[in-house]
Amino acid sequence: MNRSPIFRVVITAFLAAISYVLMFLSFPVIPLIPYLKIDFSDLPILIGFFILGPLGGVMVAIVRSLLYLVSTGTDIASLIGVGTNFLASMAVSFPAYYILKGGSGIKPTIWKSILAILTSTLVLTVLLSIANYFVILPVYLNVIGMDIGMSVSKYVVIGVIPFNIIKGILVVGVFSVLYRRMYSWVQLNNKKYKKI
Amino acid sequence: MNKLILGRYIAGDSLIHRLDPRAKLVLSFYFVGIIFMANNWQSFSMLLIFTLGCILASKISLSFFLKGVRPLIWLIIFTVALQMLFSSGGQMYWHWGIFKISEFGVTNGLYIFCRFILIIFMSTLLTLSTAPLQLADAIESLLKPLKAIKFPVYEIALMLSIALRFVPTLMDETAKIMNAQRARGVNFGQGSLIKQMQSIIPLLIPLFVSSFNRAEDLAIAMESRGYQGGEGRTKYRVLKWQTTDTMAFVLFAVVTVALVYLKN
Repeated sequence: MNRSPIFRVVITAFLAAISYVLMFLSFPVIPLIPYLKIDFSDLPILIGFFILGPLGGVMVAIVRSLLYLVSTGTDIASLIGVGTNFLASMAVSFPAYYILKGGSGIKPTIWKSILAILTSTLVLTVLLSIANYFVILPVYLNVIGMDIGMSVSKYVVIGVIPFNIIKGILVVGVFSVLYRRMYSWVQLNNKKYKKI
Repeated sequence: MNKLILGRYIAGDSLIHRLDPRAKLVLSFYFVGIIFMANNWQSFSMLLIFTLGCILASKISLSFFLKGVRPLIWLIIFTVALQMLFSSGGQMYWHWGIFKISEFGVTNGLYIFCRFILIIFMSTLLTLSTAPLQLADAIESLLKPLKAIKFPVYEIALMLSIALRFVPTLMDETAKIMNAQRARGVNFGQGSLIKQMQSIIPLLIPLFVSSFNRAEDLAIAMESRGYQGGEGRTKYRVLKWQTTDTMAFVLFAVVTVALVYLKN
């Protein structure tokens, strides 16, 4: 069936809205650093990757970030947070997408799911540690003009690395289960809405 | 949670409400930038008075702004306490092991506290006095130069408006599905981490399917009305630049000059 581009636009908007709603169902994992929280807003983005293609998935993430900025305030501090979140979403989604995509008509095997979890977690942790160490934390500390009471490298080792390992495993783990359960639905919608 | 998600806009008809959303967006960014020039009590008190003046002009009660501080209060206390306890310099007031309270630490802590409050008040003022849809329009208008590099500015703006419209609907949907699954014995937000992970799946599957149905309905409705975006489409809400907007920029320029004069 030939569908007009407006369908892709509306689907992207809805996935972004779901992602935004899920951002508020978050919970902290490391008691020491209560503001590092895990949420499942990456799952609609991943669904967007599989249904609309990688470009569509990126679009869902962009709209989600803008939505957050528009409704919760647009100062520099939250801009940094939103930028970090976007980077994290991309770091999780791209490896998981290219590993789980596979051939058409075959559900990904358990081994493939485990490979996706490990790769995504690795990419997420490495990328965010580097970004935090060299860019995000220095900029953030300068903007707020505070110091966190520990060195940046210590913060990365006891905060950022464990947090991202847990986050990567949980997010991609839940997604692999979700994707297996919704496999035929995702395939059906992918046929309908992939880039014409 | 509901209140936070739906945006915090408070309808009103004040000077601040009537400003062009583009002007408000740019100026609130600019203000956060100039806060970092302030480095003594004169400059901080000037900025505080200016911010309070803006809040008065918006005719929104101060309690809404204090509520904006509440979710961040622990982060602020944590940061200020760290700053006070660990930095040294100037006269020493109190000393215990590695903890010390010094003159330098106290003033630094106070400055950081002021900085937090100023940033939060200004960005709260923006979201309280500007509807999310207006902000979306402002972002679209400010992103327009990106069209030159083929960035789909127009489509992004449309997606943003659709998403803003359907966030409350999806919230209701989520609450409904959660209740339906609770009735079947799912416990949300309880038990071990694994249990919590498992409970998220029966929430997400119906949410995706039902929102896709809704999205298809909307797309078909738009299609059947011959919706066409992009060039040549007129708008219901048109942004108009007025003299008051220019005046607001002039006012901020004056504040900047005063700040440069007052700081060390």
